[in-house]
Amino acid sequence: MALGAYLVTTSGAGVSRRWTDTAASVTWSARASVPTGCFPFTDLVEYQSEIQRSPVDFLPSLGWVDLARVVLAESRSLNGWERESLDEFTWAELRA
Amino acid sequence: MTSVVREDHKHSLIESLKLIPEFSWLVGLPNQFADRLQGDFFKTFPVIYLDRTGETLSVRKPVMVLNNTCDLPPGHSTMVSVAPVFDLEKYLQKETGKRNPQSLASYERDIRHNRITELLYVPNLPDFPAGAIVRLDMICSVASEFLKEAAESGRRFASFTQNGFYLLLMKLTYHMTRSESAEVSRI
Repeated sequence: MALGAYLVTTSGAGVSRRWTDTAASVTWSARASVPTGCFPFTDLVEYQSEIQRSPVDFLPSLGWVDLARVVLAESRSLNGWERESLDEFTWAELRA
Repeated sequence: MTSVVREDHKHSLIESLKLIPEFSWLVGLPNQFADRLQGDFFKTFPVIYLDRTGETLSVRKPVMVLNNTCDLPPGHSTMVSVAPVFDLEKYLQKETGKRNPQSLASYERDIRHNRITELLYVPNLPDFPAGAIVRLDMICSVASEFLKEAAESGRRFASFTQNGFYLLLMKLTYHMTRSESAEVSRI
């Protein structure tokens, strides 16, 4: 499955994740602020890792619209001559 | 993915998505458990269009049903929206000799890989041995009585598989909700 370059950014309570993928690899990083018990400050936890996995492995984590955009990433609209020829064929078939 | 795809379907769907650009898994015989489903294909179904001169064209053609399955039972939606289905091989034969062979080959590949936003390509639809295209940009609506009559007279000729149905939803989603051009500005 060939997927184009794609970027997803999500953020939640104190946590942000960001990853990009291509057909060959996924780069993933995370940065989180974590409250530490009774201490009046937060520890900053940072983690970054490059993972060689198929983008397909990440499909379950996508929302529906993002999933459609990833699966159909190479989609394009009809160009001028394609639209003209398709319309010509379509109307001829409808009138046949 | 969780909001649309059932948890127990995820693994199978991902296995099918890995097969892209091969789409033989999209459709099968008419579903034996329900007589009308979103994406069902019907023969000789009425469609109506206005052409560029304003002339009305009302004919019967093969179509794919677009309504959500929940709106299709009798007593629910009074209208059914359909998209017309055409023979891809017949279309390509008409274009052969009229176009640059390389351009036509590239266009055909994009259609067969389901890369054209306005079209859904179905490779193994009954009565369309070399593949069919559904024009998602030519949706029309007719009274739901026509769907009842078509279903009861056995004119349904194919239904989407479970994974094929999810791909149909992705095509509809992409077609209708893709990003606007950066040149578009709204208040």
